[in-house]
Amino acid sequence: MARYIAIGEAPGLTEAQFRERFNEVKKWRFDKRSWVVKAYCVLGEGKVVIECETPEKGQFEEWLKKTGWKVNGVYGVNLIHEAGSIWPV
Amino acid sequence: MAIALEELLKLKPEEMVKHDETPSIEALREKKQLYYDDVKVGMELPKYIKRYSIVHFQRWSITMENTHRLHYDYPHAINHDKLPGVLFHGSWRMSLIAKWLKDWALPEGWFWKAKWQVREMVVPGEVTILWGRVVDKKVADGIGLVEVEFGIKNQDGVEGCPGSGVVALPVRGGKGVPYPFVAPKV
Repeated sequence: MARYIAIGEAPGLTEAQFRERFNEVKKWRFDKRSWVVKAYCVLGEGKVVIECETPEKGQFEEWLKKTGWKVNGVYGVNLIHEAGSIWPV
Repeated sequence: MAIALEELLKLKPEEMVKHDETPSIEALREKKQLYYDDVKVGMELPKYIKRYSIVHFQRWSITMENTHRLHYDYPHAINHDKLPGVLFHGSWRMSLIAKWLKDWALPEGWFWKAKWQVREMVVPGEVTILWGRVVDKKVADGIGLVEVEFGIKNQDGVEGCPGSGVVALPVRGGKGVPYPFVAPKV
């Protein structure tokens, strides 16, 4: 398993559309071994940052394609800081 | 009339939970006996349908004194254990199944035995549907034995706890189920 982060753009994205993207478990757990851990959205500026745990980067890229968002890059994550703890990936 | 499992699985999660058939404590105290004679192969057991939150998971961890962090520590679960979230307990499923079959057999019947597997990762917010169906029945030593298949499906119909069990029910006009229960020779 590996963690990836995607940075992208979704001009005009609304809160309703963002909620719709994740309102069913199968939408964010899109595979037995792949899921969106967190997703950040900047409404108005149309920016999105998506975090995904998956063994295959390609599966995350496939999921991103379905969103219709413009992805500027998908990167493998090495270290995560969360509430004072550092988690190596 | 309770909704059939196949029909239930066509509903949206928020509609599914409206069909929860978990009896209240009062209903269990006043429950009328289900007799072996009234059970038919293919009939469904009452479905217990829930949508647990992380607070429920934490409550079970505390109750069981189970400090395994994958059940309540979200950062640890996702970053260390590489899980999609904190997970529904296997021991809780075991307890729910035992209570559910016991509830069905009350007041004079007896949940005799069951076996099941714990599969799939259930995270907070998912729907859990504890379902069961009668697959066979027979009388042994004057006791009605009802074999059931059961499981715990999620909102997408994925089975996370396939199992089977036997419940002893009294035969109408028969000798009753002994208490404490003595397993009949089968």
